[in-house]
Amino acid sequence: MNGEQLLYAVSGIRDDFIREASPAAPVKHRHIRRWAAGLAACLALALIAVWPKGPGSAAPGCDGAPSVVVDGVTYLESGYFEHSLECPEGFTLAGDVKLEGYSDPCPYYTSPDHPEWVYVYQWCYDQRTREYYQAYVRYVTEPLRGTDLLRYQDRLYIFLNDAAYLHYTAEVAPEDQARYDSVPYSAVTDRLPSGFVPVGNAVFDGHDAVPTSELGSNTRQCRELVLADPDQPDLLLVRWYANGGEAEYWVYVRLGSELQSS
Amino acid sequence: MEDHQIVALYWAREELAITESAAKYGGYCLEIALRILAAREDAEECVNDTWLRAWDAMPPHRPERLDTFLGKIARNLSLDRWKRSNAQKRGQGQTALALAELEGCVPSSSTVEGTLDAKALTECLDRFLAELPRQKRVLFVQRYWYLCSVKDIAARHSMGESAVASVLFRLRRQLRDRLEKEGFAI
Repeated sequence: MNGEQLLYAVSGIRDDFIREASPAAPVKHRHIRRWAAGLAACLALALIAVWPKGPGSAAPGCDGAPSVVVDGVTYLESGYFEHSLECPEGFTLAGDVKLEGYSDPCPYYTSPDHPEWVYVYQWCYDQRTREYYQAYVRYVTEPLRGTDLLRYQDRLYIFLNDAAYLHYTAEVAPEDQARYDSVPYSAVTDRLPSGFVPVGNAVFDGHDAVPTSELGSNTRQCRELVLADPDQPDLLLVRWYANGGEAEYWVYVRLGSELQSS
Repeated sequence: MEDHQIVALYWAREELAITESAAKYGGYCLEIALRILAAREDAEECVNDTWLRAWDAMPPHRPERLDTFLGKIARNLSLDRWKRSNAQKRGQGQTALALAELEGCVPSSSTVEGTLDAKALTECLDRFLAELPRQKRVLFVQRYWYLCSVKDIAARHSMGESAVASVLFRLRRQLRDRLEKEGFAI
């Protein structure tokens, strides 16, 4: 094997990995004339001491993603760049929030049905058409962003790999951490452990969602088979065929209360 | 036009499929080609060839995701062209840099002569990427799939260039260990 073969092999990686890393992500609107930017900077300096604080303020995201803080909660831009040209159903204007790189605060929208999300109406850039446009961009609470969840028998399960990083963004109770640490499998395993039997197929509840359906998932879109072992109620497996090859099993562990506290 | 409608046009052998693909994904594929090839005319030619390859591939293929399907074709065509045109003068541009970095991932006991199951290698990469935290995976894919420069990646993630280089270095070392563990040291 050589580096060239590796470079070609990278071409065939999973589509969702390619999509999530696409450089066509929203960017700050930079079409501001220099004199306007200078004026805005002077005004900002003049007003900074007296400007009343709104309900939200800007903050750097823990992993570099754009973020906003609303009522003390940090929301990061959705890793799936979920956005729409129309205001999403059920969301209403809640105030203005400061986004880094913008001279003016942007309006944001909330919904009591989805406290884990806010939408910010902001400028975006389409790398394909090379045009700027305004859209409602979804921001997600830190612990939920990019976290792979599954619901089974009214309990939430988290992909084992994501559980390992949960303590960076949420308070993890010692007993929950102990449960995550004691899983006897790696996050993805080639062999089906004994005792696990099929319990149904995953149902896609939407990206960034806390699943509500039985076997609901916020990442699985292909009705993957879910397996459970009555003797290990804290674990679930999801069968996945990578590139149509051999089956592998993704390990999920029962989630604590981390998402409720976010 | 929606992707499934464009795919249906390919299946119906309607040349409008190529027009619609170029209108919707021309910029996307050109960005990919331009990061690999220095000359714009070469990149544009590869993008044009992308539509022809897609025409040959559909049917029988019915890709679920048209953007990455076309992007993969554009990437491979551009790599092929880069390989041909740079056979005598390696060492320029992001492709050469990325290639040199990936050489470091090849287990030391590997030989070029050894047979290699390319599909198995891609599956190994998928497993490796699946187990990474999202942000590290994005950094890896932006560097080695999109061939973005370290400087671009650093700016996009509000990180320092040295921090990005350091993360990528660790990821390459992890990948080398993984390849060795999975028996790719042929």
